Amino acid sequence: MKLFYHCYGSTHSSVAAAAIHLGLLPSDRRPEVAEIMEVPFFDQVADAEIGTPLFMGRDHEGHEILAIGTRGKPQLVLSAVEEFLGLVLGTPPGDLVFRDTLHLANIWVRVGGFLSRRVGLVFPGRRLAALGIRQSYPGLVELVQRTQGELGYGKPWSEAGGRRRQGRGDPREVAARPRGGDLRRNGL
Amino acid sequence: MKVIYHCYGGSHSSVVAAAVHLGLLPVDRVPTRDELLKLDYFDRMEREEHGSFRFIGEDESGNQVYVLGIEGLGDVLMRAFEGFARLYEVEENQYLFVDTLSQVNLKMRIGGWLSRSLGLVVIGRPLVISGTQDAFNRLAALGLGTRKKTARRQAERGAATGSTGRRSVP
Repeated sequence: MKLFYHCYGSTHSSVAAAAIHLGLLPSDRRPEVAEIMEVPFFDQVADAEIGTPLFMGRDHEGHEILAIGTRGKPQLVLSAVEEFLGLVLGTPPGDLVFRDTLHLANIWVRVGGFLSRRVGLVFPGRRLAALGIRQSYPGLVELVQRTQGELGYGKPWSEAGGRRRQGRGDPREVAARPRGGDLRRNGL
Repeated sequence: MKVIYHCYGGSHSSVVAAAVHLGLLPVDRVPTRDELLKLDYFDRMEREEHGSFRFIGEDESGNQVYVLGIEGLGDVLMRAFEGFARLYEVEENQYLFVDTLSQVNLKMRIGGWLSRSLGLVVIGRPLVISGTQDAFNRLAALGLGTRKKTARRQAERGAATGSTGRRSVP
């Protein structure tokens, strides 16, 4: 599975969510501003780079976690990307998941991000954006945990069911999927 | 190869360039109003269709030609397409994006906006048609140039794999 957290510029809320997902930021407490500023790519993506998918890491389930910026038009960008892949691959990619984090970016993230990325006042802007992330932290953790739940993390594979769809899916198809759950059941 | 002409709404410049590529419009003169309106998608796209690829046809070399409306997000989308192509190991020679927005003039912008955005087709359409006729030579050059470029690539690929491939006469 390729999981994309997306926001405006792929440099604040989306990378923070990805960091939480990967354990680079804690899920059980609010991190300090300094910890947030150490997240890879945090407040470092230039305007001219927005749109490039950023690989953040692979989680313990083996899924690739990435971030991408959509400049305020996620429906346009993400559906175009999915259609594009469908055209060149011959079939729509079945392993692509998108999660919007932009609605969790509060006013300080936006102002700080603007000051740093658009105006060039990186020193105050970056700290302000990190402070904003710190303030909206519970929402980000909740989004990540909800996403992991929807993708069937931590459950035996038989309960994980339809990873990308609402229901369980055809049992024959579910049985044919790669079974990372087997390792867990065997005590690894 | 998939050739994708793109502009703001996928309704004007991209459609014309794609049509020239496919031989749907004459290139020895500027097309008439009726010839432009006969094109399936000319001044027809709605806002909901932005971001959706529309298949126009296949050229003599077997390339599939599409149009795409991407509003002002050309830079973002090109980076995204390239990034995702790399992620899914899609070879670069499988697709080609051609920006036609650079050839759009003021009449096309205003006429297109009036017709598509505001729905004032009666005023907007004649204006966008006139603007398109003004810009036609440059758009035709884009379409023809792309057709030639992709024909050559197709022939090179045929030679490289040892098969004859399809011959095309630009």
